[in-house]
Amino acid sequence: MNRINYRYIIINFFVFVIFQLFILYKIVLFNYGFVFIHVGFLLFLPFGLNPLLRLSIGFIIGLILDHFSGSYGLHAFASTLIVYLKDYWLVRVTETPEEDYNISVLNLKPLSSFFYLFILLFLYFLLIFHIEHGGNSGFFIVQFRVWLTTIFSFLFIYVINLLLADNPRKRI
Amino acid sequence: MNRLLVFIYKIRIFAYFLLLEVTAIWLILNTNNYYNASYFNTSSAWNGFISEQVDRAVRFKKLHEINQELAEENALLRRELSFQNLKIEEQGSVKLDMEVVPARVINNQLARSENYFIIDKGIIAGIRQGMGVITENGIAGIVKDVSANYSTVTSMLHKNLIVSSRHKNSQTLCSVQWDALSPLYSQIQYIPSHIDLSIGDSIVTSGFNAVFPPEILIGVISSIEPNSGDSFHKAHLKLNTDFYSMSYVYVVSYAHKDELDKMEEQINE
Repeated sequence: MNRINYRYIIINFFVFVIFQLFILYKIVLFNYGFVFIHVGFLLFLPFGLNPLLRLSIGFIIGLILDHFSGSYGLHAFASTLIVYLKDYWLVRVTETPEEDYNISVLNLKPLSSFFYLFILLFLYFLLIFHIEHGGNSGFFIVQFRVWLTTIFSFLFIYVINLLLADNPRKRI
Repeated sequence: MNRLLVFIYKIRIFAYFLLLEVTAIWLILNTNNYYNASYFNTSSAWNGFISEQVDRAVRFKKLHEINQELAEENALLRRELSFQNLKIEEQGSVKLDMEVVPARVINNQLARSENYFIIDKGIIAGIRQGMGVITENGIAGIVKDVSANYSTVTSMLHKNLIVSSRHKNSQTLCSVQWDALSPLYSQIQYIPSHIDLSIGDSIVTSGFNAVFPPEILIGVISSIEPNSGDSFHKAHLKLNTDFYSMSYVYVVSYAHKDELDKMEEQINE
């Protein structure tokens, strides 16, 4: 088993969270697609990290986003759910049990990394946009926004992690 | 206590997750106007629904008392209504002091040709032999025997009980007497054959001999036999009183009934 790579976590924090808060939040693609890469920080938290610590981190990161976007509770709710589910989901999408504590797109096989990231991102944005929208009207517009944001955010997160991640010993 | 702590320790992760999610939801509800309003609307609806169910359960327990109160209130209203229905004669006013005593049916017969029922009021409540007994829908019978707290009533479903009545449309006097065939139907007698009868016509009490208040619906005509040259129609009516489900009745007592009965005897002699 590897030790947790704290340098990796800190770099992830600055790239995914700080970059998101001060730069990427302004980006709107085709008037509907947003980019939220802070979710990447949560998804790349080490597998097997203390669950209570993991949940707290998710909640706090969500609250930070809420503070900057003025939507108190929204990101906190979705972030907490994502970090709660991510380890279970990772075990489901990988073919062999996880041995390496550090998650990155280089540690996972391409298809596994796609399913791992995309599904959780989709769930996150589904919650965010539907709760923010409220009510039943405009379902398809909201769905379109969800899909577009998921695709753009996935692309950003995947590419950024590709540049940041260490080379793995083996892919799972 | 030990087991409880062990259980809490086992589910600590899920419990912490729930706690954080509830906190996030609380933040959303407090800061988002749409969900604030929706939450309060929904919670009011739920509160209302739960309160109604609790109230129903409590009211069910108090049903007997409520029924008793309603029966007494009905008796009062019927007394008032009977005064409204009385016609004032040209020579003067005919006043009949009438009291209505609510009572509960505690025993009922339907299967025999001479049926009776027992009510839970007797002499102490002011019931006397010969008083009329009505229900909220129609007439039920006439008091036969009375004890301190109970009374036996000759039911409308008694083949020897004849009730003075009137065909409402034509105001023709007639009688209603049960023919012991069905607890739902009774026979109409002594309507002259020249009177036009139709199915659905109302037959009401005539108010004669101070047993029943006038204009109380006994039933509606359900069948008319073809006239074969008789002087009177042969017809049946559907009784308005449901003797199967009869539970609360009202005993009608007239203040001057004894005096009226005496005068009637003198006329008959």
